[in-house]
Amino acid sequence: MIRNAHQLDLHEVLNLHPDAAPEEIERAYLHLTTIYSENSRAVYGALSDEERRWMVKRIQEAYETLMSRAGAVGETRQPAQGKAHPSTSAGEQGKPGGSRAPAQDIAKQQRGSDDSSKQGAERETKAESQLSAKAVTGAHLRNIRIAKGVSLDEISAATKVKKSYLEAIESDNPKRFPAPVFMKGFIKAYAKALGLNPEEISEKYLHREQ
Amino acid sequence: MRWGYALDTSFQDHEKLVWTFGGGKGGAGRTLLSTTLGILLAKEERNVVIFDGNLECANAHTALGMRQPQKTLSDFITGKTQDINELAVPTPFRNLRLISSSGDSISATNHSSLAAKNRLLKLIGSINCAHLLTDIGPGLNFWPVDLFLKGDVQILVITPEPTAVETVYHFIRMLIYRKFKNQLGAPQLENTLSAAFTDMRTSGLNDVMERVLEKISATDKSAAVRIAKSIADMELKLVVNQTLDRHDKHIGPAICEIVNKFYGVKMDYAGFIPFDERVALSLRRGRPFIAEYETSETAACFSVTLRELLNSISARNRKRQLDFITS
Repeated sequence: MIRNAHQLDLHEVLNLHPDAAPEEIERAYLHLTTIYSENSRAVYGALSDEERRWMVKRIQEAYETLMSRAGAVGETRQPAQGKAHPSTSAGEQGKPGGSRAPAQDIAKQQRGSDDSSKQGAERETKAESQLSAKAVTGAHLRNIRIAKGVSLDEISAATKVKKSYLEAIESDNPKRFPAPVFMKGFIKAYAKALGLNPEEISEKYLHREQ
Repeated sequence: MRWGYALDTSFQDHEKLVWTFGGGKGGAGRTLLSTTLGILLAKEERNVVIFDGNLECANAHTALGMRQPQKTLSDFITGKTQDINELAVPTPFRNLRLISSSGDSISATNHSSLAAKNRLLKLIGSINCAHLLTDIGPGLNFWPVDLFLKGDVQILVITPEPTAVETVYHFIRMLIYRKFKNQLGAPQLENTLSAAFTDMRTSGLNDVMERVLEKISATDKSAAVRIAKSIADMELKLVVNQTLDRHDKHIGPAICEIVNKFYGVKMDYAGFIPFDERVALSLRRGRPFIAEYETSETAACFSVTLRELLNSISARNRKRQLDFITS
């Protein structure tokens, strides 16, 4: 059987073994997105632009699906076991994101623990209302995150995206990414962690100047 | 340890290994790599012959610090000698001999007819040695491509420049094209093949191969299976020469990733050789770099690349043995 990119499963797209940890998934995502980026020297003369874009999309899909699966596994595994996993300390379990909680849970968890704060909820609504605008900036996202009381460390722990990249999103600094193409996946993960619509946010963030 | 030793050298004594160095682009470093690896292998007490397959412009002898030998492939092509083994002359290095390409480029160009080249391709297997390192000239026509495919270890050598990168993809397309063509008899299928390959000048091969295989399968199913198997069995190696920075070092694995997913063949990255002006300086002094700067970092990169290649051959042999036992 001749190898063919069209027949690869999600792990094969990212060259990962089926038990890959989120850190490995992220590393593979970063690595492959660089290889298939528009300015990549390795792609030159190798693929048509259509093929290249198709592959970028496949990598994106594989990354998002595997990352969300990795999160979901962490969530269901823990109660089923009835006790802490030997490798997980009791302290870590209490922390949001410390036990691979799904990214979108952070904002809800924060809200739940601070239910009496009516003011907080108002701040959140106010911050989120900025999103109805056509464009979303890093500052908008930062305001929403602060209003929701979520720290960058927490988002980083839940999404497995490095804090420096999250900071780059908030400071509108695409130069800090190895290639601009990485931003999309990270913005989506960031948005999901805050309970926002990942597709809408990434669209409004990335295409605001056009 | 003894068991490991026996496995790692399983190819050494009873099986000849043909190494081919190709890539299409002139000046990428094929002669440098083949002669250097030849010297390193010979130093490990292996019986090595370097075969200069660049018929139009022989220069492996110069890279080895020699004058053009008296006996060359010209003698074979023009019929002066029938035994190709007579052409293997000693070099300044123990265990290393050279079959030099033509000393007379006019006669080589004029006389190296298709028939003579085909005869050479058939006789490569009869050269007496444990390791035959074949330096292949530039270009994408039938001689360099078919000669390259004769290798048990097929090594593509590139520099990080876009010109070399672009050419190596063309070279791989030609390898696949020849794999198809060498198996096909019917002229109508050859037309399909040529049309399909002309279509894709800067794209991957997945769709083309699928389309052509389907057509072949409709008239000759066994040919389609044979072709698919011979392509799936290919194992190319990639060496990047003259790297300047970390971006250059990343380009090799990146090319392998693309070829593995879009060209239907397996390609592994075997290593890089950094840019080192002493390579050119030693050549001007008429001494191989590896002999002049044996302990340099660049020399270490050659050794690491050789080790990587030998390890991958051992791993492949072990896998084949296992497949044979379990089949």
